[in-house]
Amino acid sequence: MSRSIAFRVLATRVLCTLFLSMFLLQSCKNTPSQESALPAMPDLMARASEATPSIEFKKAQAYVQQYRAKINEHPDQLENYVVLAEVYLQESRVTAKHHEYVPIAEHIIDAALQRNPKYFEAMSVKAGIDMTKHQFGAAKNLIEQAIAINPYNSGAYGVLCDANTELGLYDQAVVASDKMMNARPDLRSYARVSYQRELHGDRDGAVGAMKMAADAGTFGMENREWALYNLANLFYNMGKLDTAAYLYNGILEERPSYAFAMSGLAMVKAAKKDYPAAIELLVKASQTCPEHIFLEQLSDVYLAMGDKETSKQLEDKVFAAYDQHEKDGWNVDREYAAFALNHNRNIPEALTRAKRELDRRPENIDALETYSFALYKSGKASDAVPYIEKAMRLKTNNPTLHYHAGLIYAAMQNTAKAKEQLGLALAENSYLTVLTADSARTMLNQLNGVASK
Amino acid sequence: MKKFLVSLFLVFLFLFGSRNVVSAMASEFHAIHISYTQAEWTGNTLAGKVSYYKDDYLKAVGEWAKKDLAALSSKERSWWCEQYLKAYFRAWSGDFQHPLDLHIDQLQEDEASYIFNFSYAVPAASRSIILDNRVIQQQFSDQTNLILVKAFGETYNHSSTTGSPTFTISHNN
Repeated sequence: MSRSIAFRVLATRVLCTLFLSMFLLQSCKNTPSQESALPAMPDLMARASEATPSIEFKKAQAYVQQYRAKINEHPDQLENYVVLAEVYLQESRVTAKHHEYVPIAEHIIDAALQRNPKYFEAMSVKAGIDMTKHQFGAAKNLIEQAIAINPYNSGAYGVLCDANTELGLYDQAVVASDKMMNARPDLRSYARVSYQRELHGDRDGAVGAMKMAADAGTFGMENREWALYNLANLFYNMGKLDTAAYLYNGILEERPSYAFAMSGLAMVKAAKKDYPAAIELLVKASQTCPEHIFLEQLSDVYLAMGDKETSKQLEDKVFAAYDQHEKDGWNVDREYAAFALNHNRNIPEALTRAKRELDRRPENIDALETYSFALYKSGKASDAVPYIEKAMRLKTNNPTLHYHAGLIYAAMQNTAKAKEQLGLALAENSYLTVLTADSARTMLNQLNGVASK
Repeated sequence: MKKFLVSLFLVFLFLFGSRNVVSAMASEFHAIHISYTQAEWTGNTLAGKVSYYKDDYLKAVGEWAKKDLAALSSKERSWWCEQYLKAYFRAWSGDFQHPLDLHIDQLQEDEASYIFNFSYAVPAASRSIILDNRVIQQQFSDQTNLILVKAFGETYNHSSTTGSPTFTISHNN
């Protein structure tokens, strides 16, 4: 054997042995025994929207360092796991880095529950994470077990209220929100009350409660701005665009990087057909905070402008974002279906997903509405009627719901009901959505023309 | 021999590098890479503004200039940012034989973005302008550069991507 070949053989053997040993050692380090397993607790990532770190961020980072040290020193003290997980979850809300922070929080909570499966606080946070991932049934089961251990905690009733709402168990949701208010009236409980009132058609009551939620918050903090954002949306959905814009602008004065307020302003601009301004705001929102809802809204605006090519490119990005959510264990069937239906993309898949979601939660009005709209878009308007009627049972003031009902009745040649529903939609909000306002008016005019012959 | 050692190195990289590369890719995958240009062509001027996500833009400039931008003064950094824009945000009058010079009127920045106010002097007889916006696309293949141009009563939209970086605005006025 020549020297060169011999050298190669020896080098290969030595290097392979070295690589294998190092690989095995690394694997062992990363899979510790169950008893000593500590989850990853990384530093927070710099916030894109803050060239200079804010006090809020520095405080959060300090909490990470503090509670990481506590967990490393006393891995049996489970309260530290809960506090740390909540820091990551809050950071996820602020930065929209859900795929980075939610898994970290979940692993931390799982580590706590591994040590004590009946630890109330960890069960509550885990149920909240299940809600974030749209695993509503799992969230309800877990939070009910937690409440059986501690029936006096306001936050737990908040999670139960949300889970019952998403599962369409609205009477139970109201009971849970009452218990939440009785345990502790604060921003979170007022916000739940507001949403329950909105669902049951009490818009004025919803506005009142959301104002109380915002007032209970702290100036500039994310949860107060979220409450104000929802308050602005209530006015937007009533067609009161200037009031909504006033609130969105007010949010940006308190918290200039709040991307949802930028998107709200964008929707006001789009409703007034100032599409360039809407696009500028939505791109700004996306650059500040990478929530894919802003991409959805961008694609809506381009479609409304008639630029199908650009809209399609943005739609593809949205579908890619949904793929990523599903890879991370999120359930996005309804959201995927609703978006696809609005953009006339992948209709058969939208129908399949909408049905799958309805099977999971047959009483939820959003799931019913999406499935009925999918049936309509699939040419099955007659099948859609019972589902859309069930979706309207709470008498919610939802212009889009009434618009979809109008389309379905029109397809069924039920002119009277179609006119009633389209009229309701436009009376509730004459601007509807950027994609539907013109279509609703055109159809109503056509129906009135037909009726007068 | 060299090929052999390179192959071994690549195996090594795969065994130990892949986990971190995958996790880094996972976080990049979900980021939104997007910019927006609004401009208007009136008479002899095409003027507007464009905003880019600051972190992405600085990454692109640093790689292009082969500089550590953080080590530069603010003035030097701005200069390199402008030079990069001139290299990757280009325009021609009529056809590719007549390039137009990009003039940067103002560079602003906020927490998340760089915003350039720019203008091009357009020859009087021009009937069309070609715009080519490849900013940041070498760094992020999914970078989408949205462009909206108003010209002589019409609105032109384009989404510049790696597959379609160029578009043409024409008029008969």
